[in-house]
Amino acid sequence: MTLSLALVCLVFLALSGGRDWLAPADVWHGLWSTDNFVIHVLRLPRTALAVAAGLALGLAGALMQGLTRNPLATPDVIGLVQGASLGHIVALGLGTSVFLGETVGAAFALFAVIALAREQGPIAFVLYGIGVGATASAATTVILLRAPDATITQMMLWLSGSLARADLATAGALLGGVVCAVFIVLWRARDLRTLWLGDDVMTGLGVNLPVLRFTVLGLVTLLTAGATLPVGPIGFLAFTAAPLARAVTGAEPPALFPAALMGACLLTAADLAARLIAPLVTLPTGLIMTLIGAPYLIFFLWSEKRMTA
Amino acid sequence: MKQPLFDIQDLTVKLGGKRIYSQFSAQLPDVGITGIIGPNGCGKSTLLRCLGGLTTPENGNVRLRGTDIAQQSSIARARQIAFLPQEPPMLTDMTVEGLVAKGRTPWRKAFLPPSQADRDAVSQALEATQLTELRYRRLTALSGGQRQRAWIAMALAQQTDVILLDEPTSYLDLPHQIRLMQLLRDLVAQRDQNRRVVVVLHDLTIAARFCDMLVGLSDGKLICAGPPSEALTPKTVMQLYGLRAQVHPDPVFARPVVYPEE
Repeated sequence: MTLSLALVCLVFLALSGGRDWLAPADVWHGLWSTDNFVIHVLRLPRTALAVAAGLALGLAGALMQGLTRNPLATPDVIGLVQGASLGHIVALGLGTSVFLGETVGAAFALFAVIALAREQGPIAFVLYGIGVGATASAATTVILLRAPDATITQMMLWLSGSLARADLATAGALLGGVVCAVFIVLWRARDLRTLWLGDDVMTGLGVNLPVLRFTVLGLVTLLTAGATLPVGPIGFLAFTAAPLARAVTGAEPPALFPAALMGACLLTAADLAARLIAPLVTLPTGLIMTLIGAPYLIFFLWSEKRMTA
Repeated sequence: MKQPLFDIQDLTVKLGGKRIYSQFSAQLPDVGITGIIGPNGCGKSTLLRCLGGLTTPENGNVRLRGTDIAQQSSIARARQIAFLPQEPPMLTDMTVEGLVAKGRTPWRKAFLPPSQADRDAVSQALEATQLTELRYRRLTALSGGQRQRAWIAMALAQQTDVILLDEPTSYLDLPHQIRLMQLLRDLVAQRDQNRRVVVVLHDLTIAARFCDMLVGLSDGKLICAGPPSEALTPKTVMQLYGLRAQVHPDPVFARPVVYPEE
């Protein structure tokens, strides 16, 4: 509840903020009249995209953390985002569907990590994930170097996570995808609510584990691919959203919807910050997200160490 | 003879290439608390997991009051049998009530909020485990005994006939062990519920004192089964643990106590 309210405020702020600040009344009128250039062409698509991608990544992160019972095992940390990016570039080169490429890339990364880390514990899972992610990133760069100059410039911006090329159609499509994911989550809520309880307890509660795993991994792959397609690989968002949402709202794990809302809040805020800090150049939103998320990772590891000590 | 609670037929179980049970058959009679005892690695937990349907045997079957549990859907099984593993996961950010509500999983319907029956079951489970006052506490803020009770409350909220517990007393001090076992006694004493508990225990004195029936396992074989006074004898202690011991009834409750002679 708190988070939905915060998101509405943030969206409004994101629409009024930028190089030129608009008065709330102007934003309101601008939204309803199609001829307001600043709102309709510049700010609304970006903000809508930030909300959609944030929802998708926040949800994907919370799902993955709950399934693996591992706060570090999110699509951005274990290489899914990087796999999706590699798939994106390869698909561009082959001239096939980028979304298909991303889905295959993310699924491949996920499959590789699961196969490699089989029964080796949570740390191995994350380390293999980082390895897979780094490999995918390197491969992406190598492939990109052979591309024409114009593509390189464009793709480098995309690779740092930018909302600059947003348009309403993509944002709408992604939002549609998120709505479908939310529907699936509500439909499977009985089983999804038991995430974090571990395999034995979940089985004891009558959860069909293979079905649940397939559902979660499928959703995570599609959400990651869908969010990465228009905005590029955004780091640390999926990882930060769920724990932050729980800290703010006191929601109990798995806290899937609070995590999604927190993801949207974070990305909207990060994009607004990117536009405010450097109004004239296109500062990548992903960079701001990393500036917020990376210190949180360090804080997380530090507090874990204190807890076990 | 009355129909047994669990009827285990020709059970063969392999774990990681190692054969734990081979053609194992046993019957657990329909009594309040059945304790499973035996040395480490004798297959106590594996048997409990087979009873709960968590481990699928390679061969053989387990029947609960005549129904083969392998033939049931996971939901139907979870409405009859609740299972708690030896070490439930540590959960940060989860409240007592939140955890207990997870016990309603097999009863919840898609797209619908918790029903009145769900809320009642959670309240009753909290009441029975004396956690009503602590319901909004985080699990991390509880003592070990309280946390164990919270997990048992979750199993209670599941409203099953049978509750399977794997060494629920292992990390508790003596007073908490006693209180937990007394809680289990209270649970099976409620006549209208017809509830049954099967529990893996390490401490023989506790097991003999609180269980109606003891099942002794060693190396995947059934050594003894019966009321504590029959199941615990110098002979069975030797067979179970390879330990020379005397067994005498304690002066207060007249339950058998094992006195090792080595």
